[in-house]
Amino acid sequence: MNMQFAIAYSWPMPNARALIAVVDDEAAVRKAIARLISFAGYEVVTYGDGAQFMQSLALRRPQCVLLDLHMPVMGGAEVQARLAACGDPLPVIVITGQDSDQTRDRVLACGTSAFLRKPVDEQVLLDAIAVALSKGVGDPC
Amino acid sequence: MSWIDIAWPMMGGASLTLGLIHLVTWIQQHGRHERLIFAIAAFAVAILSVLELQAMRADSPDEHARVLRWGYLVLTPLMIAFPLFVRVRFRAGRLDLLVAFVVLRLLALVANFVGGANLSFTEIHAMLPVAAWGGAHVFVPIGTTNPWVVLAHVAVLLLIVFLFDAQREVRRRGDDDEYRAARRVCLGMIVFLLTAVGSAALITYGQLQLPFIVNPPFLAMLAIMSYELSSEVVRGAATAQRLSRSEAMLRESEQRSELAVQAARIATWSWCAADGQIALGDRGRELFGFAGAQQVDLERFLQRIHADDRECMRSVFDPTRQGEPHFECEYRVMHEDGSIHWVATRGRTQHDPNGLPVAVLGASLDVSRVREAEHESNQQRSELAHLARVATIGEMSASLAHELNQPLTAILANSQAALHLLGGGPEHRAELEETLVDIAASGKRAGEVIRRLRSMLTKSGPQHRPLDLNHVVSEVVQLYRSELINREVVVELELLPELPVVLGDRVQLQQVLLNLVINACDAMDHGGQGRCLSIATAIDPEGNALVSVRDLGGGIAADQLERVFEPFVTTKSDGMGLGLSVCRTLVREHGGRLWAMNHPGGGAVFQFTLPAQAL
Repeated sequence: MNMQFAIAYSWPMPNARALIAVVDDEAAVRKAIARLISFAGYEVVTYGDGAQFMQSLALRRPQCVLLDLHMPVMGGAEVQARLAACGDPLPVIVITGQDSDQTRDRVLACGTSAFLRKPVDEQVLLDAIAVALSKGVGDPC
Repeated sequence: MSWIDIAWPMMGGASLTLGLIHLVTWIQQHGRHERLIFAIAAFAVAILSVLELQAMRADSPDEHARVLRWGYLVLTPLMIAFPLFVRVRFRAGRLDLLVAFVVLRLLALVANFVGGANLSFTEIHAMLPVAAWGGAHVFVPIGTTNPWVVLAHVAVLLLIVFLFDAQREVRRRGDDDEYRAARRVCLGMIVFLLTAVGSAALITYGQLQLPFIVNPPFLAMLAIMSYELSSEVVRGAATAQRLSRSEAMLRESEQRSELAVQAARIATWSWCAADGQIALGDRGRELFGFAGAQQVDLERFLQRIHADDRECMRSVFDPTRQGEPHFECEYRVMHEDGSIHWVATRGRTQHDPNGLPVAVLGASLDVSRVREAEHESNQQRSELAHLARVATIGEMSASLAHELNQPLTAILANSQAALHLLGGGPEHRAELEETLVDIAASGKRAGEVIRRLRSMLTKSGPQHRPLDLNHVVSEVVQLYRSELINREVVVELELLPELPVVLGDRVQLQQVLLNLVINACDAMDHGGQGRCLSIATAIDPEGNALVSVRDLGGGIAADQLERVFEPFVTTKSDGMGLGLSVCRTLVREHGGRLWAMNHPGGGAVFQFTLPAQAL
């Protein structure tokens, strides 16, 4: 697995430098999404799987996480479960290719900010991030 | 007229008849010279019987002496005929004895004419009337014994030695039947010779007052010889009977084979190098599509065979072809109406001593129906494999959707980012370029997923090409990757880099592996010790490529290890139970073997072998 801890895209947008984490096992996907949202003025950090992301939380805490569900080592569902287990209020946006209604209901039931289906449109994604950020960032675990 | 006047002519007549019969037989059966010799002896005995009767009735010494002299003349060929008969019939007897005997007989004959009244007497003084048995009267000669008669007696002794020697020689050869015949003839001849010659000698030396009566013993000797010749006829008749019986059996067997050939609708044909024509029966003409009575030469015959299949049959008639005379060919026959028939032919080539084919015999059978059925069954198998593949693809549709979604997600996000970069001015050119490169890469990846999917769904028949099984394994894992992640199954690959290349259809082998992988994942859904799937490639002891797929599920009950390969046997609620049965068929069609077993460390292992491609 490609160990890509943090690739930050810089784009001049001084009024909003919120840090967004992108967690996806597919390098092409996480790079493209990171590239796209960096144009909206966010600082972006990417991870190849849930375990890497969980480890990174102690060092650098994002304001929102875009989370894929199917990943080796640790999938999105487990990340959410762990966050919930320690009461972490970090806003989570799930972006997945799995589009069954059961998955969606299960994901939304555990306090997920948004459930987006791949491929995701720019505007839908940015709106979901804006909503998530507006909920405010709670304390870390 | 006494009984003698009846008996002697009867003996003469009997001898004459026997002689004539054997003379005619000799003429018909050329080369059987013993019959000619017998005929001569019989004629001599016939003449002798007349002379003997005359001698008995002769009342003057002169007449008696004259009759006796002529009697000795006739006796000479008769006496020579006996040893000749033995020598010709049994190919036995010493030649030197025979020659000496003949010489002595001829000398005696000379003495008969020059040394007195005849060979017996130098002079006959008187004729003595004697009353014979049965009231008959005969005359007996009284005279002086001719000393030359000893020549005849010595000759008879030589003849007896010759006959003894001849039957001993035949005995040494070890053929019991032949020895019995030789003994019968030789000892019979000796007994009757002694009777005839002994009585004559006693009369000659005046010890016995009787007429010369040699005819009955000679007739007995003829009877012995005749018996020998006719037993040959009897043996010949028995042989002829056996021959005719075996001919009848042969005819019956021929009729039986003909019936079998007709019932089996087999067409027999033959080719003869001498005229170059193919001889076909009605069934053959029908099978090869030749009308009525038209002549069929080799070239016309071969032209009926489809050009692609002709070589096998042409080689049968090839003069340079050596060795195995039997042949077997299967080919298409094209009739003039355009219909095509599959024909199977078996046959045999006959070669001359130089090894050139002189004749070819063939039996041909229309096997079109068998071929059609085979073709149909192949097609059905191929369709079943395709259906199973479609079903498998259906099972992994979620995975495939995910596989397509990933590149599409990247493409969409990247192209929207590129639009921003386009509006951002020339300083973003480098990043724009990189983004476009990423889009292209994702597009290719999506294309690859579609290509794999299409090849799995293709309905075309199998195409066997050299394949690296490790590559097939990697492709299948890639195809099922997202499903594996989704099902939280960890894959361990242990691929042998030096795996031999196999000849196979990539899609079918992917199908087999995919089925085994999906089954392994399903097995681990229903309990077991973990969620690890191991796929390994190796070389088996016979040098075949071996692929093992192991799961950590609950394993398979021992009595089910074979049953799982039967069609419609399934443990899944949503499966048709065709997967493994189709897999086994596919592997078999590749010349390999697929089987299941339980791993000692838990879980089931499915293994299949494929023969390494011959280099």
